[in-house]
Amino acid sequence: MIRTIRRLALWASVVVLALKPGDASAAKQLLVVTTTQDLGAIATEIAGDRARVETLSKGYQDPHFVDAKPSLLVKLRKADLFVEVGRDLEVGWIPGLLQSARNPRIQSGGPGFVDASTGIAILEQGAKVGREEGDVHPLGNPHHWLDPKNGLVIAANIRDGLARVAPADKAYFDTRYADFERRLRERMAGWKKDAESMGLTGLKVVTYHRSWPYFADAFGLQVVNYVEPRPGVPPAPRHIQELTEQMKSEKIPLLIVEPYFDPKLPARVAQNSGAALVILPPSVGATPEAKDYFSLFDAQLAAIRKALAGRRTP
Amino acid sequence: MRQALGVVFARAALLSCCWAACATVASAQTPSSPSALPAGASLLNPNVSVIGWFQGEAGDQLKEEGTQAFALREAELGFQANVDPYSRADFFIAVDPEEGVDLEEGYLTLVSLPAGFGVKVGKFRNNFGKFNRTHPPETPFADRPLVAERFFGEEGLASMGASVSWLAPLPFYLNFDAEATNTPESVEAPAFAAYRGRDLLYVGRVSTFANFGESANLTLGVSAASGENALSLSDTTNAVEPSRATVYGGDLTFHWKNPRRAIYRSLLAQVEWMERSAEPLGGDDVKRSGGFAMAEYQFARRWRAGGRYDWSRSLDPAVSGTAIGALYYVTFSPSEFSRVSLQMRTRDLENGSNESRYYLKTTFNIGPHGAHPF
Repeated sequence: MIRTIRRLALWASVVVLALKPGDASAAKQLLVVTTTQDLGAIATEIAGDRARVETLSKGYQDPHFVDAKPSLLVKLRKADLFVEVGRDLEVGWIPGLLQSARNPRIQSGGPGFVDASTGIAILEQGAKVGREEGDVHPLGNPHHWLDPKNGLVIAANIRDGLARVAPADKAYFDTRYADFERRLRERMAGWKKDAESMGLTGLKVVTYHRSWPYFADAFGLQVVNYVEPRPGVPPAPRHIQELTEQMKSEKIPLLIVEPYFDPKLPARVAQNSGAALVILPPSVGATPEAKDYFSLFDAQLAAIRKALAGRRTP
Repeated sequence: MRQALGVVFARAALLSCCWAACATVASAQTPSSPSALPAGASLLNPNVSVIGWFQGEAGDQLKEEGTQAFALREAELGFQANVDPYSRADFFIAVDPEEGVDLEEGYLTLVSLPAGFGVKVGKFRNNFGKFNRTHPPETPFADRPLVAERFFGEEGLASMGASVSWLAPLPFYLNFDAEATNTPESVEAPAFAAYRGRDLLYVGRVSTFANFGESANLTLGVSAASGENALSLSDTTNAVEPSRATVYGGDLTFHWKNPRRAIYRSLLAQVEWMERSAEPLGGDDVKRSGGFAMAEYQFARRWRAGGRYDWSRSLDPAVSGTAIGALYYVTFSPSEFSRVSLQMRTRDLENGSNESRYYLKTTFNIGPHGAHPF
């Protein structure tokens, strides 16, 4: 008798488990809203067909300066999961939008709120913080997605967030995360080799904004100076002069600029110093080649390769 | 900074004025990250910010009035933080030489209500039109538009009460606001006049928004405010008859900004119109209207130029004709956190007199990074 009951219970649970994925796929698709396309690309990898992913900004936009348009509220109001880069990157537009979104699920501390920077080894923390340094980020440098190993942490944060809002699909998200991790690790090894073959290890570079410390860490570059040393404050002519001199004397071969800055001034610096100017996509969607999180690094390394080759054989 | 003054008054498109606190709190809730955050209690302090508004003024009338050439118009202190998981609090205290210390706004916002509702209680700037929501130091102007000054006073319409807003569950933005607050005194907002604080001021607003491509967008709003109007009935008989004044308003805002070059060029244009309808003692309904149109172009990363055209009738039924005015300005922002604006204003009043004024408006902000304007 007890055996029969046990057997029945076992069968019942098998039937329930078999039905469950069917139920879940029949259920409404989740809506995941991310602030940037990088986060959107990673969220798509993890969420698969269980969620629709929308982004609030495009990769060619400066993520510090996105307009808090009311149309973004319409997306946030319906979101099941919200993912931000964090570390105050979006401080100028996200807190107000969240506050006006009328969506308790995605408020900071709610089940549908994901700070992608959680668990990432943040650079430039505890640096001197004061407005005399320009528009600095007191919580460290927020451009952490530019090191592919941080992509794994971001993906894990998104996976945990998805599992919180759709616990029935936890196994599905775990599987997709494992697959993403495997593919990303494989590619990371390849990128590292590419970077070494291009001679990026220890290569001195100058960048426009402080967007690239994670990228530099990942591929061995050494950022020695900035076109705009104080974020948000246009550089003084004297700084540009000194920078040009430094680049000449140290034979710095590469000047990296984000696509949303006016390239006129950095182009002049590059020309006067003999460096190659490269407009590097800092995000998925910044150029047509950077379609997803993988092709972002492909596109960056290809752009650097091209710039360096162009410089060596003028 | 909470106010890139250039376009900040349009920020009232969103329901909230202030928000730096959220992000800080959010980041503070990441215990697993290796962190060099300032330890402990200071993270639970509210975000504190101060905006200084220093102004120089010149013009013939000022000499007659005996106004001093330079003045600290206002120091605005902001304290903002989440209260608990359900609500946040925002306090703005204005300190100025004339009025002393004044609670400009102080309200609690419930952020976790279901079904698209938002509730605010306390003292706040009423959600009438777009311009009224912006704190005076943060508007692009050294003065207030003539119609705003005549209808809602030097500081704008602000009162104590409660507000409910609802964001419709539609694929586009459509928001409704309803507020019930104390009717302000006529010295504060001349369009209304409280009588023993009996009757409330009711304010309603509907606003919508549309994108035209990724660079351009339009915001459209209609508002109405109905409040006690005791001045028209208490003069002679002292009889208390119910009388109300109602102000209707419409506003249209156009924004242009190429998101690929967001920090270099932008255009903002706005028209706001309002009409007051009130019944004077023993007379017919008197309608008085006015409005302003402004445009501002950011022609370099740190430079903006703008102009405003004003027209307004007087609320006094005995005055006929329309006053008109114009304001021109050039604004330089050394950084996101400070700005200097040179402005010139002319006005032709109903009595045939005209005046010119010159302003140097300087504002600066210290404290955590607040919202960028929209």
